[in-house]
Amino acid sequence: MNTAYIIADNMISSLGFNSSEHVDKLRKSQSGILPCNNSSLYPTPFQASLIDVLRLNQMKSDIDFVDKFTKLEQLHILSVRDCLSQANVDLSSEKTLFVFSTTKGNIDLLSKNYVGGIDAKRAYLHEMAKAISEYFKNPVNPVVVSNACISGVLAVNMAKDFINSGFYDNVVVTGGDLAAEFTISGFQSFKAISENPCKPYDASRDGITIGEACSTVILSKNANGSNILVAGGGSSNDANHISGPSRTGDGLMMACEKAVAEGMVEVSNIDFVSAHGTATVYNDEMESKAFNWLGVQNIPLNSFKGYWGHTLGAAGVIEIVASVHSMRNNELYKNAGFEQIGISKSLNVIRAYKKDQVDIVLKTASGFGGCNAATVLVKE
Amino acid sequence: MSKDLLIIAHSVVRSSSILVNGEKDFTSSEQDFKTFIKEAYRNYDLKYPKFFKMDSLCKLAVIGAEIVIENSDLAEISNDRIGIVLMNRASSLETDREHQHTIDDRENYFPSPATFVYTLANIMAGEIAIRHEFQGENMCFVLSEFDVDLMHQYVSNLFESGKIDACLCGWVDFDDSNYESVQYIVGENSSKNITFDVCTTKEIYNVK
Repeated sequence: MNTAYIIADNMISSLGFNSSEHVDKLRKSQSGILPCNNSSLYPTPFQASLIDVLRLNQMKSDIDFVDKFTKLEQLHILSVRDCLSQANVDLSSEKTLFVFSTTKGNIDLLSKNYVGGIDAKRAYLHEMAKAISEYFKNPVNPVVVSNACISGVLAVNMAKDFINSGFYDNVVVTGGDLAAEFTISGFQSFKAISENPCKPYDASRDGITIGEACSTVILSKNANGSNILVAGGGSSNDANHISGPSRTGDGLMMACEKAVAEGMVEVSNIDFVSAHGTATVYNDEMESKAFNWLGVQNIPLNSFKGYWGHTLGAAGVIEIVASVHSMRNNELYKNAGFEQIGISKSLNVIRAYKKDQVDIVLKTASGFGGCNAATVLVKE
Repeated sequence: MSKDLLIIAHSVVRSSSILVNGEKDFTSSEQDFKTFIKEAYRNYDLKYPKFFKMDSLCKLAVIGAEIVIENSDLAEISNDRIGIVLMNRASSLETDREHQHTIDDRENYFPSPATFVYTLANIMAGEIAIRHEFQGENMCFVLSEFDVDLMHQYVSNLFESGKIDACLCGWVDFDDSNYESVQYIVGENSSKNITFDVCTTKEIYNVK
């Protein structure tokens, strides 16, 4: 029996502090990626999608004991709180679970240049999770999913499984990662960051843009007025290379097949593919092979990375939330940054915002370590 | 409800010694992890030069997985039906600190992709997947301690939903020279009658 409904959601990124601010900008195809000249993040200028600090300082002012939380923890608190304003969920219940999705958490605490007053032990992901779940007085040990860039998709899939199995009535999935010096320097050393805003699937794409984001979904066994279900999920490993994608796309294809089968949908009935599309040469090429193999090459597809960059542990969550809004509003958002197709197998990349019926969505992600994951969202 | 799930084989790596199915299989007088794990590599004759590029967490994970997989007959199971579900406490913090060290000083700034790639906890699953060509489900949790209940819930679910026929499960943690690996293969067929449940997993984990 599948009853894992998405009953509340939030997105925080360069585009705003809630989902409706994001939807406004998605409709206008307005990207939040900007040049950044902050030498504390990287010695030379680069492109990034950063959360508005001044606005965060206003937003966070009514968090109790705000100084006891790091920037990322404050974002999680704001994100979860926004969700609570949309749905009546008892966070103090034993039947409510918190699942965090992050790659690096409070990694900024590791720097010898860190000037805040938070104990370094909060660089441990479970300590960060505990601080936030305790803020919301949740009695269950929080779970952290940290599986590179597929973390968010895996976390939502797990939440669905745990609701359908009856382990929990509600699962709060909250994903977040900062555009930290740690991450930017690492991807720069890989020469993976583009000098321009990223251009998923484009002929001139040459790398990612780092973004920071925090995004939350609440899954519930009760519909609470929602008609969007997380219907299927799957994951896989390429078993090929720890930092390079598969040459054939077999891993991603297998993850998608499992999600589609579990979601009990036909590939031909999918209305929209919310792909990973990091805009590295090899990732997007790999996806084009997997999607042609799966048979979704003619279905409208985008990557949201052109709006808020690659948000790592938050990516799966924020892109699922954006897809949910695509379904609720029956509209497709443009693949920002895309001009000319640049992959060997063709895909139906969305070139402009348009209204369209969107009832079934396939969301995918792939990451370091050779991992892939997919989710199927279905409108009842 | 599907068939009972069984633990096909298990391994424990801690305090310079290795146990396979509860029996001491290799011990070293060497307290230093790096030397100990190199001795273990030679003892089990891995013949896998990539091993020496890995960080400590991955070396620990790969050795712990090697001996448990060697002791499990998985020949009948398709590689895309074998999952890997791992947990730990410190994520990749050991290597995170190393990468951080390369960027702390602008006058001595030398971030390296060879280090950075290991700053994700799930790379250990990736290394195991490559070595054994396992292409099934992947999951990596970071928790305050080995949560055998969560492992049981999550992995049972993967079997019940028909996504896997076998799963490499484990707690593999490395932090500031402290290390611990407990790994086991769960499947539906085994000559040994060890039920995959919370109680048995705890016994395997706590064995001295």
